[in-house]
Amino acid sequence: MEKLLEGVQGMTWQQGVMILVGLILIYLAIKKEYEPMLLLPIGFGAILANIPGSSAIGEGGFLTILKEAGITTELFPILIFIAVGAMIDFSPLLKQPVMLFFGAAAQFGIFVAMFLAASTGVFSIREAASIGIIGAADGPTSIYAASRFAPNLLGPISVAAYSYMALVPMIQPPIIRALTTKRERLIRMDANYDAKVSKRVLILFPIVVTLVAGIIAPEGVGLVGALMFGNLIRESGVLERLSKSAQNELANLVTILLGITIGSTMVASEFLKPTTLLILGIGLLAFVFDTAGGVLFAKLINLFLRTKVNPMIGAAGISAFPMSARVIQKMALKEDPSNFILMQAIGANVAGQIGSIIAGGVLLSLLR
Amino acid sequence: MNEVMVETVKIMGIGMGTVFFVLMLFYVMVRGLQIVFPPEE
Repeated sequence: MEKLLEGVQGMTWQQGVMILVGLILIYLAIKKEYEPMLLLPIGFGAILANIPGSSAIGEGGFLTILKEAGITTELFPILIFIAVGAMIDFSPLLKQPVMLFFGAAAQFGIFVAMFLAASTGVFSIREAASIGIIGAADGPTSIYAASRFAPNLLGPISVAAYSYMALVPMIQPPIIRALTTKRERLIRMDANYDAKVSKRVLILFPIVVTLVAGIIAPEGVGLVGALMFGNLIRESGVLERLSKSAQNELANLVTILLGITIGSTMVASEFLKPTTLLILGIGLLAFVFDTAGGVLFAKLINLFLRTKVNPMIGAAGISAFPMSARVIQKMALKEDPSNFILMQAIGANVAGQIGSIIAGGVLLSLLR
Repeated sequence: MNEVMVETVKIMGIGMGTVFFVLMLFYVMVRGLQIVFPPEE
């Protein structure tokens, strides 16, 4: 009998808090539908990891085995990128390549967050860089960088990255409204719907991007290479079965494993520290500065353009795809129900996906 | 400013600059590819 009560007697308040956090994540996933594919497994993983004496973690625990096999080795984020690459259609970006610049400007938050984290004096420069990469708005890149530079902070960094990605519809609009006038938000843009992209360009794009990005930031080859490999499978036109498998089976399987494994890193003794709150706060600021960077860059180039761009497009340069593009389109429609800027927003959003990986790769190369 | 902060500011500058440079390269490449391989009719 005593043995059966060990679990109840061994429960600490910290474990209770973490189980509650797990339940909240599951509630947000099911009731509010915030990134359910991620928050639900993360929430359940957090519960499994915080049950006193849990056999799911520790020596021989399946979650620890998954962590060693998929996170420590960086395998899961890489596999997710193959799947994401197979899902992405780069043609909206290739029709309007100027959107690439928004994908660069909206990475501003990464570097500001890194600066803020370093200025606290609590984190080393590598840990600060890992925290900054929350601003990549890209879970796998955050996990990839954290597992390399700050494995001790992997739990809070991944939770912050995925939670704020889910909260993009709440984080971005007030910042965009604060930085733009109504007149700017009403700007219409030519969507260039009829423009076509050559099949050869679609095939060559992932190869050329891999070569150039890889040569400049070799530490990021794993990330950019996996994304572009997935995209090449899609665009080659001869691997439809593999492309579908990458988009469905691979994506679903790795998402399940990645989510529950990340959740299992939220062990009370590691997670309930003041540094976690600091990481969550700086992570939020990273998203704020990403959005501001994109919008302000669009306003800056408008000073030189004859045909102005809607500055809200700049905010879609973050990597949270396709959530950010949808948010921008919704805001544009709210201002003017006949203003459609979704194609441009998707172009910028896809550019953000590339920009965030390049930023991650650059930081990995600079700090190796 | 201590050494870590100086290093951080340096990385910020180089990092943001490199991201812009690489994406500008991609822009030039895409434009070039579109000229070499115009869309098929």
